[in-house]
Amino acid sequence: MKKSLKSLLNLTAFELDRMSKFLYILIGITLGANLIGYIMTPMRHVSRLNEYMSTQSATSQQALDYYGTFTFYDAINTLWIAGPIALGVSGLLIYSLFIWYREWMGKNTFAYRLLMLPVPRMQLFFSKLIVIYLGIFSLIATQISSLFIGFQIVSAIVPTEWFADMSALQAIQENFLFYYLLPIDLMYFLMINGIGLVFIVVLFTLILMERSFSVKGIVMGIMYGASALALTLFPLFLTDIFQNQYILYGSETIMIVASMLLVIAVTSLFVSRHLLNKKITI
Amino acid sequence: MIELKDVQKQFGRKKVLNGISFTIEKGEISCLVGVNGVGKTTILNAIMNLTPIKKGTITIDGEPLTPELYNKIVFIPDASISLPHFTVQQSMDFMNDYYDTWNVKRAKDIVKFFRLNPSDKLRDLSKGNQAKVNLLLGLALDVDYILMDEPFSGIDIFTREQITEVFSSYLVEDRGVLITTHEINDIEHLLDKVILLDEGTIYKEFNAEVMRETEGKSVIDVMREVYNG
Amino acid sequence: MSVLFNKRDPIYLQVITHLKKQIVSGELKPGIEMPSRRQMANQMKINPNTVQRAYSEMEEQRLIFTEPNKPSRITEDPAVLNQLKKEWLNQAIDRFVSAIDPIDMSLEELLPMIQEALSNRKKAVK
Repeated sequence: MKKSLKSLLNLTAFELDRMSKFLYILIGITLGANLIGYIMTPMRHVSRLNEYMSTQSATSQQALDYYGTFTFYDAINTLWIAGPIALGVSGLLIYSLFIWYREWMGKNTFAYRLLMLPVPRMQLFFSKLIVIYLGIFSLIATQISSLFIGFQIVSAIVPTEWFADMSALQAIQENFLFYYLLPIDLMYFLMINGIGLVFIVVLFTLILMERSFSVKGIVMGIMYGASALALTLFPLFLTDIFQNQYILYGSETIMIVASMLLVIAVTSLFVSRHLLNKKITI
Repeated sequence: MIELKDVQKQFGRKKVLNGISFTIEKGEISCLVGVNGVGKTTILNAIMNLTPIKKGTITIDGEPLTPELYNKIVFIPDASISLPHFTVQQSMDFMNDYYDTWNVKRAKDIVKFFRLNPSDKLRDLSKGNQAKVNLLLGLALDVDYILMDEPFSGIDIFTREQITEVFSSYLVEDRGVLITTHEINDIEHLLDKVILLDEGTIYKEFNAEVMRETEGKSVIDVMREVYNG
Repeated sequence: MSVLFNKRDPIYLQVITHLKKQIVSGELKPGIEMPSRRQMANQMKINPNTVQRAYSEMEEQRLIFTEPNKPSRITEDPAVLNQLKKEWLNQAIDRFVSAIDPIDMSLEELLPMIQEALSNRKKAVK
């Protein structure tokens, strides 16, 4: 038991090391783009107000009446912030494919080495899964720290009389992207990450199907993925099916979806284990 | 003893292995020979559970292969399987992290024997030196069985000579060795057992020394009969 | 020590012949320790099992002997050594005789030729 834990940690550290460059780039882009956003967006607002004042020879209050105050919400509701998030999500999604395929497609077929390690092969699966999640959480942590730094920058740029009194937290909560992605509402955060986790587990299973049965595996994978999706979504349509919207409480629907996700995750893990142990081909 | 019993394997509709049975004994060097590449590598992959078989059984000392047994049986493919950006040392450290049977002293000896530089990156090495690293990473394990796929293909003559020396050295002492090759010429005097494969079946299986003694034929002679006849 | 083996004769027999020659010529002195089968295989670049077979065959012929937990040694028994020399000569003479058999020559005619060949060889060695 202790030995297999050690090898899982070893493998995870190894995978993390292989991902680190890619992750640093994503973190760098996020911080860089955010920083530009924190500076550019309020500066544009301030210069607009200043321009209005000089061309219209208006007072500061008149300019403010015309353009409105600046909030931190305005600063974060831009592509400078949303862009890197989209990039991070799609980057890690692509990396979830890459993390497997590079073992076969790389210059050297490292899959040989990994599959012949004297450890249960599911450890390869788990180490890769953990690393993808470490990537996700690193980006979330980066985003959170960036927002708090950003608030300081924005409030330093915008003169106090033009800056609306809105806390960083309020501004973040108003942004729907952050509401779902950051741990603001614990329930939501758990749900989103739970769905994400099951999604990656299913994705890994599909990859292993393709690696085991090639073209046939792709067909199997599509069917498996579609059934998983149907199984997850069908509780949401129960009220329509029975034409009775009182049949379930909202919380009950969520419970059913959650248990469906659990069933899918466990099934996928068993399927993956079977594929890795018995069907995978070099 | 590695034992294959009636092993069958198909790629799509094409039968690649059509009922293969043979054994590999400890302390013997056995060689899978076949003119066309198909089948030989597949057998090694199947023994190592790197590709599923359709029918038949493969056992190592009577047991089916488990991950734990990768400490006891090693496969050295014909191309480098460590990471290109790793140095020779990093490749060895990686092995040491996972294998109980990694023998640090033996690894050092092999590095010296092959005149490798531990701080060289794999991707900067010549093809011959990459082959040597590949051998190093397999031979430094204290295993009972060694499988090698085409250890002589695509390398220069001096590397070839060095690698040939491995087969009469302590590095394979008392171990069961199975190699595949289509160039038997340089090594036939090193072999115990020869297994001639063609189109997924075993044409002939014999002991090279017994063949010379009873029929006065070299391994090449027998191959000529089988493949040309 | 590099020995060129032919591919059609059993290698263990070729090893024995090679070692016998060294014993007859005195290169391997009576009582001297033999290399282990591993060392010998490595020197000759052949399979250790082949060396093993050669050694046990030679042991049977009492050309080498092994005390428990010690390396094998060349025999010191003069009878065996004499026998080996005789056998070696007989074989050589057999080969020689059958080789010159097609040519009709008497021993008197052959003797000076053999003597000359021998002295040439000795000069060449020097």
